[in-house]
Amino acid sequence: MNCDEYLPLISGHLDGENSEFEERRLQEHLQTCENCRTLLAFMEQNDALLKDSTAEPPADLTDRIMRQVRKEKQPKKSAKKRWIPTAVTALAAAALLALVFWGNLPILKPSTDAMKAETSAAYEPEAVADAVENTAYEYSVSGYEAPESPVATVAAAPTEAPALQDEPLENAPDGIDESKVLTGLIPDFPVYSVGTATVSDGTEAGTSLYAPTETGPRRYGLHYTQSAPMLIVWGADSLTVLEELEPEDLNEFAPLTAKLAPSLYERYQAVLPLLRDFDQISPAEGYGITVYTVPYETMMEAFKECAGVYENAIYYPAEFTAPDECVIVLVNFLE
Amino acid sequence: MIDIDEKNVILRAVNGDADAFEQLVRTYQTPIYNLCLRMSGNPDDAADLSQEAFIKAWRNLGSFQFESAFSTWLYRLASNTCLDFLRSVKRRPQVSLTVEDGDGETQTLDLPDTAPTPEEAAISKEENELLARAMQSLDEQQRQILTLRVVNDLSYAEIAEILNIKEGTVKSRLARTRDALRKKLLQCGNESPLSASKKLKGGCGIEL
Repeated sequence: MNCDEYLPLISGHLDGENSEFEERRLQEHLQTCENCRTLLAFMEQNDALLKDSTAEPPADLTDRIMRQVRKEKQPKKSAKKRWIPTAVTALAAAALLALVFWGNLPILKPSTDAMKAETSAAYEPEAVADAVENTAYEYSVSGYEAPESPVATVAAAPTEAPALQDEPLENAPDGIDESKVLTGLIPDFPVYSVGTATVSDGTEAGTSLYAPTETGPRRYGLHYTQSAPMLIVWGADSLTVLEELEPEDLNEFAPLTAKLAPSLYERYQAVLPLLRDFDQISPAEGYGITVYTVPYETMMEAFKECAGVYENAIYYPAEFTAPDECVIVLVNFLE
Repeated sequence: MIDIDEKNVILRAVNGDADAFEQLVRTYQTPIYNLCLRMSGNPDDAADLSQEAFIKAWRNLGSFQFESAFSTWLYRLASNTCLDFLRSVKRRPQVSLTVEDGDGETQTLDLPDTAPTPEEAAISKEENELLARAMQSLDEQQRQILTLRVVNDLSYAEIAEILNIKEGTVKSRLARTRDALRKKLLQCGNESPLSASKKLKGGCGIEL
């Protein structure tokens, strides 16, 4: 008699997790099968043995742990983030890195050279620093500090983002109404009028849209990249201050591609000073970052609403598994 | 389910209250330590892994949003820490137990003193050591799920959440694990001079 089919029932019985039907079936079988009765008794004994051999942790374990805990700074939910609807997760942290590294964003990509440098496989941290430095001079963002360079002074706010061109995205499916995407994703997202602009580096394309507002020039844009599983949106009414990242956080960001992950830590090292400087910029100066997290499914639904084939425009490497949330990062432009 | 008191403690810990976090450590250190002990096979690694798990918990409390029980979140964190450790080491974890040979023992598991007579005590220790060895010869996922169920006393629903699998998978995995454990134990019996018990048969095939 092959009793293999009864193994899950025996195991389930030991755990008290059999349904009534399963339990009945098991008991009926046990009445006629000594093999299984012995099996059950044996497994029950092993369980008991295992349970009985519970050990006490070392007496000083808690002290050891607490010594290290008290040395470390506080958990990451800090007072600075009070205006953020949800906690910034490692996903968000990596999105901010995406902001810097894959910066198909006007604020960080004044030239296609920097973009190519950012997105090519042979990534050079210096290229980002260069791009950032150029950006700082071009936009004169106050308080924004490239490594080993003085703080740029505040200049008049640019009314246009020079890196944006008013061209339709080459690969974009037709009929996308991105304003709908934005308002769908973030309730009350202000949309006054919408223009579509494109930045492209040839290998990765993003779609940006920006809009003026009644109070003055503002920009916000929706951007996606074809290798990074996130949305990046920037806007002038964002407030956020970055919190400090730990290298370990990056390890937890599993969906990174193999191409990106090994060098991410070095890149992180290169830009960490830049990211930390954001902390010192007060929202009043007009430069900041807000992070929203939106369920991934919601994002996909929103895109599907706009254009049936849009989902195909957001693809990601095979190793990537869809995150639970997508991150929408808003970056303030200087006004 | 999180009771109100624990929720308050967690909230305080999330806001940086180290004393509140210490309460959580004291509450969970024994189950977490035992999980790490069964997965790693030795007390030193278990202590290190427990510490690592709690430190990670402290650092990441900000991302805990009560969407699951705190214990679920902590168990997931700890068992992933153990799996990372085991996979990076790329070896079978060593079992730091020795069979009592009558001249003195060097057992490192704290076994409860349940047996009244020396012979019974010896048998009990013997069984425990065999069981420990058999456990260590299982693969890490099997050790993980059996420990969560039997040592940590978690339900199928909780285990499913921790491991991010379906409850049906929990059930079938546990069944296969218990069967594998049984087979290992059956192979192991003949090494023991005290193998009077009917369940100890055959040669020991466990590689350490």
